[in-house]
Amino acid sequence: MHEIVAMRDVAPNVHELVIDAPDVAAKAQPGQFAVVIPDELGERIPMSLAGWDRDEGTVSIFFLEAGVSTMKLAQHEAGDEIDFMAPLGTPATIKQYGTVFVGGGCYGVGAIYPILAAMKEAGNQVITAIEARSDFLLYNESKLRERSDMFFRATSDGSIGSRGKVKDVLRSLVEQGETIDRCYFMGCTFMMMVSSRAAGEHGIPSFVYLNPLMVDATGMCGVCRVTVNGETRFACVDGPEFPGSQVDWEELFHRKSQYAPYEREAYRHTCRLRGDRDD
Amino acid sequence: MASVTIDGQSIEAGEGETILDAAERADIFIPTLCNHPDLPAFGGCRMCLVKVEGMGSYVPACSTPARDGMVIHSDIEELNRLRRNILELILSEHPSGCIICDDRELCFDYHRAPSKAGRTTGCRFCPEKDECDLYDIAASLDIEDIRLPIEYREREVRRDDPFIERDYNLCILCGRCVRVCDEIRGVHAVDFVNRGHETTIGTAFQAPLLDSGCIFCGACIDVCPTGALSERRMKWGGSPEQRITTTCMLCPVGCSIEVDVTRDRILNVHAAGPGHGTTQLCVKGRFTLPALMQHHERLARPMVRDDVLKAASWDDAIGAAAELLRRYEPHEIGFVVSPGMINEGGYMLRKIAHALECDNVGVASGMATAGALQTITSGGSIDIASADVVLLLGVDLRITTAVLAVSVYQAKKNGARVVTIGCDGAPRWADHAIATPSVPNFLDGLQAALSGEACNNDVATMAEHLQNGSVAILYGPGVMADDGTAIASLAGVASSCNGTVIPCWDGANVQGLLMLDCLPGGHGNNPVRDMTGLKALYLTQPLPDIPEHVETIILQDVYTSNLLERADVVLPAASFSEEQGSMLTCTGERRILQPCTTPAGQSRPDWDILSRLGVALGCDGFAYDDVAAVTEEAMDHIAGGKKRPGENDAGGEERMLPDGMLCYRGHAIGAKVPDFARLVEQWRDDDA
Repeated sequence: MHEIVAMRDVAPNVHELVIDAPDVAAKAQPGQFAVVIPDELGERIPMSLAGWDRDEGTVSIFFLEAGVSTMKLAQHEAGDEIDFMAPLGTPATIKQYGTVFVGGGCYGVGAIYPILAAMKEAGNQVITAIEARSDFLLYNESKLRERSDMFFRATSDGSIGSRGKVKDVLRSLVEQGETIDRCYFMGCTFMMMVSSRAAGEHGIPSFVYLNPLMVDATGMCGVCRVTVNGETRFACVDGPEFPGSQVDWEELFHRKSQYAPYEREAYRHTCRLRGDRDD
Repeated sequence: MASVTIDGQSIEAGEGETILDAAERADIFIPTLCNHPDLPAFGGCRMCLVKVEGMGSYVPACSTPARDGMVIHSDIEELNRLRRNILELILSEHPSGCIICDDRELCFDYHRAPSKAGRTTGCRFCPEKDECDLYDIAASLDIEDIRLPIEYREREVRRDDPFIERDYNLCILCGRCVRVCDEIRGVHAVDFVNRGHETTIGTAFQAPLLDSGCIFCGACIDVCPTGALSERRMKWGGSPEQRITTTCMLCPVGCSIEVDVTRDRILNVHAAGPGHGTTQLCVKGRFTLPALMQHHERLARPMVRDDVLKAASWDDAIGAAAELLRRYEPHEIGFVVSPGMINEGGYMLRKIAHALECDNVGVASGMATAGALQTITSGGSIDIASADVVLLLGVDLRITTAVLAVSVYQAKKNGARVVTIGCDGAPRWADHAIATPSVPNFLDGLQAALSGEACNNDVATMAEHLQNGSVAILYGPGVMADDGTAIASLAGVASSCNGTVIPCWDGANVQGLLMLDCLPGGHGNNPVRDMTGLKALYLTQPLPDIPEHVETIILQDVYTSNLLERADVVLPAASFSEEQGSMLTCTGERRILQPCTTPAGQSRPDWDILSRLGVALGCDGFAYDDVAAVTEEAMDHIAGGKKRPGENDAGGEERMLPDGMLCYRGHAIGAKVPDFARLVEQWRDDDA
């Protein structure tokens, strides 16, 4: 069990979780993830590592409240202990590629930071774009801006930055003649799909960090199977980074929605938190 | 009749119709957000502005009566521009990134299930995703952009109440909830709070609904056009696979309800709507059914005692029950009908008793007496809403008759005088609330005054009111708390003023069961009151204080209970949402029940269990192919007119039955639905 050092609301439904885990902090690398278990009845949720402080011995994670388990997680407070396993997955390959475009949405706005920082460190020109439906849902901006050569915001309603999404920022840059060598996208599956498609349209290689349903996260159970380039891969050990253009998105969405009816039902049983048992 | 032209189409508008009514009848779409068919016109949102030739400015279609010769334009660019401006103002404070998002269609294709988040920040997070008035109107007006600064109000999501969750970050201030609460329910728990930009909906001092007089009828949720108000448990239920119309059996009002069912489970309950009598429900019908009907304490398997209770097959259990009944003389057996049983079950239990020549039959309800049944016919027959005087005697309008209270409030608004006598939780709009220590004494006085005897001023004034207008009398368990004389006085009062009497029974189908003669016929005892000499009991719900001389108990019930310690045979019965049949409401209407889900576990409908038992006992006339034949027989019996002579209502042992209006088949609803227990506890505190 690991102690929660901090739990902050950074935007409506988006929370930053800081965990005391010196061993994890010592070894974590960009692109890796953790499995977090909110309580003994909660599911195991893969979450990207959004930062680590090797001196303090802490790691941080951004997550979106999207169902029962994340709701339970969000109800934890500093001082609570949770089950947590990291670092997992293959680290991102950080090299000097030239100009790197980094896009984040939802939890990815916070979680893309290690990749962005490492790319910058490796001598790349880093262009960062973040997206949300509206301005009140964006966060973490100053930190991202600090390490970026160019920084853009996009909102669905145009309330701040340009109207549209990360993919629209990318298109607009390419149309203006910017040369981009690689793209990295982190966010909800939909965002990663449409963004990598946009990159593909301009012939730019893109990399995404997949977050399918996962159980053991060490390559044993196979729940996180994804089809990449026609081959079955395990997101937990072969990934989570995969070339966006090669992912079978339709299948991934299908697999992710497999338990939707049970998720609805689970929400109605939140009882175990609130003493409000249904059956 | 008025002839109007709307967008070039000639329409005949009926008496009192507004422009919007006429347009809707002619399938002309005029957008509106604050208007609702159940509510009087408000004219608040200004989305329905139309241009009427000859009138200086634009007028709201929802509140402007259609007059002869009007030429109306509803779909012209100048109006749509105005509407777009208004809607943009509304959307600038309502999380609406999704409504205007360019990727919306694609996103909806992929994100089939909503994200079940604590706060709604867009369509994907909204419980109203599937049926959103705002989105439909935005789409109809081609809103593609919001040209105003976007603001998220950052208001706390209120989750501190039973059943209801309120997120005023989504509220568009249409006032539907305020109006339904005040104008339809007469409760007025919420209203507009603060002014100008800070306006919100709330209770006095932003107290929880629980402390605000809210009766948790859920009417506000039903009329809310956004996801601001939602039922916590059902918030993410999604669209149901099926919607089945049946009847609620949690009180004698017998509301027609629409039950949302997915994967053979009840998700949600709504009022069945204008075509089925009511658009309103009470807390029990609206919120408790899913948890109550699908509770983990449902009896799932037949059981037979072999030292301890052991699971058995239906055949073995029915055989064991028959064998036990055969051991006793008819006068040693008592049959107890639960008021939560529908006509078919009650009729079959009575039929078994009679086949065994046993006359010890009773309904587990303090109000189920022959005298109470007779009060129905002692006066006139009018709608409550059209009464000039409404007399409420010993009823709790929040629980027992929350839906009848809607009609009483309607009568009040039509000018009726409403008098409550000995009522808990009397509505604030009652003209007189008389907290008499003894309802029977008051009735005696009233009857005397009506027959011209001298009496004190209060009673004389009351008698005068009763004699000058049509009268509706609603009475509840408070009237029964004596030896039956109050009932006689009540019948006398009703006949003196030709008042319509509506008994607010303390069980759902008491009226049906009484009409089916589920009472002793003259040579037996009502086992609910008097168990003297009984050695075997056939129970269809738990009863308190069963004496030791009762050797054998056959329990045909829905839930487990302490009685399992004594029961010899346990027969799991289907709940009312799982069976087909009928019941009689307290206003004498017959309501139909349809199965919404398959019976829990191996449980079976009451009539089916009793039909098998009849066959096992070797009695004639118990082999039925389906419930329809039972229904026909039961209805023939009710229509047969002459009721049995009736028992002596008085006497017997003192048996404290739990409040039938807080129970389903003798089991406390609060024990199954903790939110309901919280609510009842609050009401009791308020009363104290």
